[in-house]
Formats: sequence, C-alpha cells, structure tokens
Amino acid sequence: MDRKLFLFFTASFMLLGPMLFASGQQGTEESEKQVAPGPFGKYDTPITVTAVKSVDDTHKYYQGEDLENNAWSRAYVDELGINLKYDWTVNGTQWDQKMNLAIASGSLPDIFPVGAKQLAMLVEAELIQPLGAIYDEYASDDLKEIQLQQGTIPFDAATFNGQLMGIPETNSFIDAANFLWIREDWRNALNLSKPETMDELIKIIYAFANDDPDGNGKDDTYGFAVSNNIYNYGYSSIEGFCNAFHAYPTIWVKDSSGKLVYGSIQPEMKEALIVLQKMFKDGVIDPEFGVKDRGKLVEDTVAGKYGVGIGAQWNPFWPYIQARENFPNLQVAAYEIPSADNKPSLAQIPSSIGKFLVVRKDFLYPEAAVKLTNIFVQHQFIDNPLREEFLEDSEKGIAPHKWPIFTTWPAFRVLDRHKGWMAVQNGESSEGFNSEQLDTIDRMNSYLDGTDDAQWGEWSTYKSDGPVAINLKRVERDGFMSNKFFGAPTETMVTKGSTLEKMEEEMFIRFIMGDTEAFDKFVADWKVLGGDSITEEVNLWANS
Amino acid sequence: MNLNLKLRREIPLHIMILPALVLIIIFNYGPMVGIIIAFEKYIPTKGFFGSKWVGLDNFRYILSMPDIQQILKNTIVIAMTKIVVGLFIPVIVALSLNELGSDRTKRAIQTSIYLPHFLSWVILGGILVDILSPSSGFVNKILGSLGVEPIFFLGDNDWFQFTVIITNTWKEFGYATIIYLAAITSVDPNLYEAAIVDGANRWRQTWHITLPGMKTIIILMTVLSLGAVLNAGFDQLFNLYNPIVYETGDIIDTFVYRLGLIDAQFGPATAVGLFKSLVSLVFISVSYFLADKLAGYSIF
Repeated sequence: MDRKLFLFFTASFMLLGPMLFASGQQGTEESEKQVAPGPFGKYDTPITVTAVKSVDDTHKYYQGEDLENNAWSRAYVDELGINLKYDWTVNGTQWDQKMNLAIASGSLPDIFPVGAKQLAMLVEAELIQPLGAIYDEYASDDLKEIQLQQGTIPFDAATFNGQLMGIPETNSFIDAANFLWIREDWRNALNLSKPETMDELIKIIYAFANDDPDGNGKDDTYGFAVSNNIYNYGYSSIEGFCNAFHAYPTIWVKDSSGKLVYGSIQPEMKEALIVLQKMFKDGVIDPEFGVKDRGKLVEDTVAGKYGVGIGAQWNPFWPYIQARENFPNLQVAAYEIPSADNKPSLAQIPSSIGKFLVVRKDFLYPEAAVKLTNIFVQHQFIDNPLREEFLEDSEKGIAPHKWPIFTTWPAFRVLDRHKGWMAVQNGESSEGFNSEQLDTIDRMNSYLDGTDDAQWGEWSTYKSDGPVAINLKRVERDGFMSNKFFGAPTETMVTKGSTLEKMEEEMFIRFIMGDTEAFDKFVADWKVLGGDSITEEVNLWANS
Repeated sequence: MNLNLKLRREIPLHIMILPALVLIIIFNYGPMVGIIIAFEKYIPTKGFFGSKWVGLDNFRYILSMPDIQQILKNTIVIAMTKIVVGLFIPVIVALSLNELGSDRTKRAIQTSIYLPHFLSWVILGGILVDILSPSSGFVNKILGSLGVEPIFFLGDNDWFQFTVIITNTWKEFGYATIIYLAAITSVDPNLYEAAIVDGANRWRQTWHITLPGMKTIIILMTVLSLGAVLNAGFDQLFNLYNPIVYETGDIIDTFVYRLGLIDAQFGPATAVGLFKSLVSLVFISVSYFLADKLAGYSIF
C-alpha cells in the first residue's frame, strides 16, 4: 500500500506544486521609447500602461461603460495616446492588504496610487522611480498652480533624500477643521444667547443637559457629545474643544523657542481636560462615554440626545440630516469655537496627504503619470465651459470624477461654492461660475423654495453663516494651526507609536472620568517610553 | 487477518483522508516557513531570505514593552477561567437536560442555548453595550429592582474580566453541551437497566454510568481546550474593550493586532505568535500525556 499511497502524494504535489510556488510575473519592456513632448503631447502609437485602483459601490457608469471604457479612459487614449489597463481593482477596505501583497510579491503595475506608509515602504525597497525632473518638465501650469496652493507641504511629504518619489493628491487642508455645532431649535426653545465666550458655551451645555431642551418632559438629554474616539476630527471628538484652550492634541507645534513639541503633553491640554472632567462629574457628558465609540454617539445624536458637539463641516450630512428624519424641525448652526481667554482660538488641521501616484522602477514612460494628472486637472477644472461628459449626473447618481486613475483637488473649492452663493445673494451675476458653484446654488434654492427638503444639508453647509463662512473668516485672519510635522513616520513613531497612542487615549479618558493624576503620569511616561526620542527625530527632520 | 486483505480494505479510507491531509500541509505546515520572520527585521519587499537576521532581538524588544506583564497576566487569567468554566457548565447542563422527560422541551432548550454561538462578536459587542449599560441597560434594571447599585460591567476594571467570561460562556456553552449530549446517548441502555435492577436511583445512575460513559469525551475536550491557554479570544475582547478597561482587557492578541496590523512590525508580532504557539504545544503535549496515563485515553 505504501507505494500506492506514495503515488497519491506525489501526484497531488505535482498538481499543487505550481500553485504553491507560483509567483507574479513581471511585464517586459521592448522596443524603442516613443517621445511625446509637453504636458499634453500624444504618443503616436498608443502605449499600454497597467494600473490598479480602489473602487466601491459608488462607482457608477453609464450603460455599456466601465472602468476601462468611459469618458476619462477615452480622453486618455484620444488625447494622450495612453491605453490604461487595470491589473486589478479592489474595494477600499481591502486596498491596503491587497497593495501590501502586491508590494511583497513584487508584481507591481506600471503606475499606481499608494498611501503614505506604502510610499515609504516602496522607497525603502527601491521599487519606484524618482519623478522630480519629470514633474518639472511635464506638469502643466494649471497642475502646478493647483498643487502649490497650500505651499510645498504636499511635495515635502513625497520627498525622500531630496527626490520627489510620488505625485501628491492635494486636498484642501482647511476642510478638516472643526466647528462647534449647536442645535438651534433647542437653543431657541430655551432662550439662550449665541455662544460668544467659553462661559456662554458652558451655560448652553449645562442647559441642554438639565433643562429639557426637547420639551418632552423627560430628563433624557446630555450636554456635550464626546465619544471614546476622542480624536477623530469628524464628530464627537475633542480636538476642537482643546483648541479653545490653545492646546493642539496629536499634532506637532512650535514652542516659544522654535522647537517642535507634541501638542498633547503641553500644560494647556490639562486645562481643557479639567473643564471636561468637571462636565463629566456634573453628568453633562454621558457617564458611559468611555464605552461608546463615534458610531454610538451618532446613534444617540440621531435619537435626539445631543445638542452640542464638535465636528467637521460636513456634520449636516452626517449625523444631523439623519436626526432630522426623527425631528423634522431640527436646525443646526456652526459656530467658531469660542476661546477660553481673550486670545482668539486657532483651529487645528492635520495637513497630511493620503495618496500619491507612483511609477514602477523600470517603467519606460514615467511622464505618463504626470500627463494623466494634467488631463484630469484640465477637464475637471480648467475647460471653459466644462465638457458635458465629465459633469456629475446627480439624477442618475453618476460621478465621473471617480473614474480617473488619479485625481488632485484645488484647496478652495468648498470656499468657492460658498462664495458663489454669497455673490448671487448680493445680486451679482453667476456668469463665469464653475459647475460646482452652479450646482450648489441650484441645490440651495431647491431647499429654500421647499421643492427638495433633502438639500437641507447643502443649505446648512454653504449658507451665509454656515461652517464654510466661518472657515472663510479663519482664512482671512490666519486662524488655523497646522501640523508642523509632515514627513514620513519616524523610526520610533513606527515602533512605539501605537503603544503611546493607546496610552494617551486611556489616560485622557481616565482623567476626564476623575483620575486627577492621569495627565501628569501620562506626560512623564510618554517621555520615557519613546516620546523623547520621537521629539528628537521630529526636530532632526525639521532642521534638515 | 491477511495483511494484504486488510490493506486493500483500508485504501478507500486513506483516500478519503487525503484531501484533509493536503489542506493541512498547504495551509498549516506550508506557512510555518514564515516562523523565520520572528528572528528577522522583516521587510516584506526583501522577503524571508533578504531581510536582516536579528536573532532574538524581537523577543527582547517584546519583553521590554511597558505593558507586557499586564498583558500576559490578563491573557492567562481570562483564558484559564474560560477553560475551567467552559468545561464544567456544559457537562452540568448536558446532564440536567438528559434528565428532562419531554423530548420537545429538551430540543427547544438545546436549540436556544446553541443559538448565540452563531452571532458574531461584532454584533454582540453592540448589543452588550446596550443591555449592560448602567443607566438604561436591561441587566442593571433587574439588579436595580433587587436593590443592587448599577454596575458598569464594561467600564469598570473590577468587573470587566468577569463580564468577558460570563458573556463568552453564555455564547459558547450550547455548542459543548451538544457534544456531551451526544456522548450521553451513546451510553449502552443495558447498563441503566442493570443498575435499576440493582436498585440504583437517578443520582447513582448518573454518577456511576452516565459520567463514566462521558469520561473520554470530557478528557478529549479538556486536552483540546488546554491548547487555548493563551487564547483569550481576540474577537470578543476587541469588540468589548475600550480605553477605560485596557488595564484588565488588553491581551496578547489585541497587542499583536496593534503591532502587526497597525504598525506593520511583522518581526515582533510573529515573535509573539511563535511564543504563543510554543506554550500551547507544551500544554497540549503534557495534557495528552496525562490523559493517557490517568484515563487511558489516546488518539493514536
């Protein structure tokens, strides 16, 4: 029997062996390189470029079209002579895993977008090529202008040893800033004045918790929305509240001597936490907030338990428009977070770039990456008028800007939408407005004349005293505090970062819950357990 | 029996086991090559053989982490208690169910206690936060009516481990109960008849016939569960813990998750995994040896 069994094993191994040991194969380059000069120069014989992309359910196409056959892919072929083929596409949640696998197995496409950590991995492994000279030569003036609107930070983040290794996907940094959101229907019901100072804000918080703002006769509301994701920039986080005390948790700021220091361990942070601690003691922060994450807080807000929270400019779209289904009279307003003293508060922004377009090391046409980005900018923002096929079809829910391999965004498009609305309100003509501005005006009007209540979110965001208006004022008075560290994660950050983050969350939540020693203990531990070496590395980076 | 004949008869059986063997080789033995990562400063792009060999540095690094003692202690306490409670409760429940006369009630109870086994911790995590809430939770309402002060089960370090063990037992004891019930049905009915003739009451029958009949299965389950001595249950802890109870709820697996998946420190994360596997191997071997010695139970 042994022989027969042996045969069986051998046979099965011969079958399975190739599967076990197969590895990704590399594309081969042949033939002479074609030349296509200038930002929009076309390759005479179309070249085939492989890529990968993260897609999801919101990627919709017109009938008969798909990712490789749509208005953008046709522009790539017709105008640039670039035939883009996707090796694979994957859902956003699996992107990192799939990309890490591709990096680990060395089966990389020609041109592909990656995150900051992956960019660092690729550079370390020497799998991608520098793009600095190519960017300078091929980037269109409009692309350069848009990408430099917020200074050189996006390029610094993609620069390793003086070489630009990826094209950054610029986004508006200031759009991440937080606001104080207050339920106006509650504030009016209790006859409270608008929060101009921290004391007035605290008065509102206490009144919302204790004075039955929803008038249902039950003590079922809390004052201030805080979740155990204390830092999330989106909703129910505390960064904005700390900013009122001139504390800037999780980001790196300059101290009086010009050295970079970690915001969370500064004494101002303790002042902010002491106020939160008192609110917790007085029961205006949910006694159970320590077990509730942001999702739970959103549920509670939708159920009408919260009227004051700190969050992003899109809060009308989430969670308040959902809350409005339960409370049709709900109105919210954004406020500047009032300063705790007479020095105006600055809103902190992380100022980071999430995506970079990179080119595989031996790829013959690195300039294609720049050209593909040029053409996106050209057709998305510059053409006048914008071509029909690239415009959003909101009736069918089709958004062509999701189709390109890579996008990049001007810094001020959200502000521009608001400015467009304001101009029309002031009786100016909408001539020369871009399509996004016109779209916003349409949506806001359809809310105001009562034809489409679903546009309430749009209206609450862009109206004359909405969050965008506040951000515009911040821009005018330079009211932001941006993260002064924007390099790749340092060595100690990589090895000790998550331990320190976990400790910070744990200790600060404990402090809010009444453990008065937790802050000082955290500061001391943080320094010893790696914080001091991180500070050193960050300053080394700043001085280089 | 003629050896040849015996072999010929057994060949189909060997063939039937073959797919399982192949799968184990591919998915369990193949990946063991990756153990090498535990001794390297592993960089995925450089591969197993290109990364730098650092010997035991990863293990030293882990031991130098500030929380490591806390984490080990939490893991062992939670896992051990789960094993012990998870052995006793199902045996008791199976014996009691066996005494129930009506088949219908028996089935109904069996199904309802088995049901939570199919819910994932992601879902249960959300539900438990609600029903264990000190202010509005259903459990504390009941306790309140008995005059007990509200207990913050998920946010109090004194109660958290207890909550973890109780909820895990509630979720999983139905599964083990079914196995024991099956063992009970395989007991020879003649033995009970003989015992009745000898004048044994229900209690005596249980003690002298049912329990000894279940012995082998109980020992097998114990041996198998001892391998999990460092498995405190990632799914459960990850979905139930929160910053307030890190002190009592942080376990090896959540630690590995942070190291390996968040920080991409594959070397140290693999080192912890290897350490866990070695401890499990020792425990399984010892308990298997004991089972053989004490109860005459062996697989091979």
